[in-house]
Amino acid sequence: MKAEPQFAFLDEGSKKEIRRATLKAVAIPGYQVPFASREMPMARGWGTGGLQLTCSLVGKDDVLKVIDQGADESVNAVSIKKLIRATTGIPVTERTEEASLIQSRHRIPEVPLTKDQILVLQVPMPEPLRKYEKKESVTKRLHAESEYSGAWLMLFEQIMKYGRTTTGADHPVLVNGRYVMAPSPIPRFDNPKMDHSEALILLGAGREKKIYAVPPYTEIRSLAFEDHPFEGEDFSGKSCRFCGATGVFLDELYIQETGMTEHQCNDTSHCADRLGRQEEKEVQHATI
Amino acid sequence: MQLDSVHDIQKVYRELLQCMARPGKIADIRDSAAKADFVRECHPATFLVIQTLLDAEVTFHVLGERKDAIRRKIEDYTFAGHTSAEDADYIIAPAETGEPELLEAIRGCRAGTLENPHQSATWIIEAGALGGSSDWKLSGPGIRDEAEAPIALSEAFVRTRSMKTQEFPTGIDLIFTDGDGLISSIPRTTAITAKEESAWVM
Repeated sequence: MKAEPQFAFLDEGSKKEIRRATLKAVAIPGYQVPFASREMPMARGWGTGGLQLTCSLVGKDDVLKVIDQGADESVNAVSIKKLIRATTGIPVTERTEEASLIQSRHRIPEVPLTKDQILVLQVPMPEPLRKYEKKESVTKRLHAESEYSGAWLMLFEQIMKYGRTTTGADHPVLVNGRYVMAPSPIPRFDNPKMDHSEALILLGAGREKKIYAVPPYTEIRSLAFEDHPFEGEDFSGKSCRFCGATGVFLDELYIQETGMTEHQCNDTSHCADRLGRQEEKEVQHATI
Repeated sequence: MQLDSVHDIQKVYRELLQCMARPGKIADIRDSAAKADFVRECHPATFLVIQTLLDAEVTFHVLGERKDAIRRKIEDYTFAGHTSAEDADYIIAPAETGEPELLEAIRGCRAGTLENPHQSATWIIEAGALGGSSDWKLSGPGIRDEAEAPIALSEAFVRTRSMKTQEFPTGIDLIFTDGDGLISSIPRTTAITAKEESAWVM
């Protein structure tokens, strides 16, 4: 006899504990709520925090989308989708609009999210102050006292050395004017999407055992100086080599044959969707 | 139909989460509440919220006249430990709780510390009916511009709650339930102001 797996993998006690932590996280935007972080059938550091959040949230009526660095087809995304599908039987989708639950590693989809969707972000390092303070007991106190000069100093030193901030991804943000928060390694391009988002955003760090959240319509400001305003990655004058999209996050590729660099959409489902619509238009307006 | 401890509870949790994320939003858990017809001691919606959040790892406290019956029910179903209002993780205020008792418990309950603001009490308060008109409006994270308070609140209640939440991140989070299977929430980040005044100052 083969035992039926528990719905959404986790036992109900574990879900309850994650749910309690999540509710506190929503009530205290940007504060990292500790949680027990269960053992998952996946190595820590591969999105176990996000996966546990997803398991605590998912129900029979959900439609799930999982993305890894903008791609629906990468190993991490596929294995998470497999686990959720095998234990819940819910449909998965690649179209952002169709999903009610979106688990993502390091990107916020290009299609604007709605109030009926929940975005779950996987977080490797939830503590924005960890780079200059090793002790958890100290960073907790720094957060308690709103003592963020270290975070500012870090950006200041980057500007002194390189003439600009060099955060790349995971550029720290100030949540609701109180907590400095790591937005997970999303590119700076995606930071503004968190500000006054329609959708609830939950962030889970499995290895570090922390859950935190950004409720909808909450002010998210990327840390920056008056004379060095925050800037996202700049793709002006560049477009996707497949669908021609501009104003989206692009990957830069070196093409060996031509020795040139080309760009393509990072959000694969958005790109495929655009291509599909272009093709539809071509067929509809075809004249023979 | 029987209450499903996996799927009904998941549904309640999702509604509760959206309520906590969008203060003032009133969510409907009527279908699941109807299955909790074995609950006579409190509103079925209250019982469902308790079932969603409580287990042996947390403690609770019940106010009001019928506290013993409700306490027994909660202990039987969740194995959570009963404790004083000052120490409890969850405090339940049944419908008939008198305002003086309620306000005193709010003043005395845990609000967390600056280092551990999550170690605060969450309130489950039974209301007459959610969705009526009130003299209060809500603003803060989770609310675009302004929202209507989900229930009529007394001025003393608003003042006591504001005292408890004035030093963010410490504070208390409130969950409201009614007899019709509706739930709503006001977390600590929400500012409650009187409708006629633009900024309510204590």
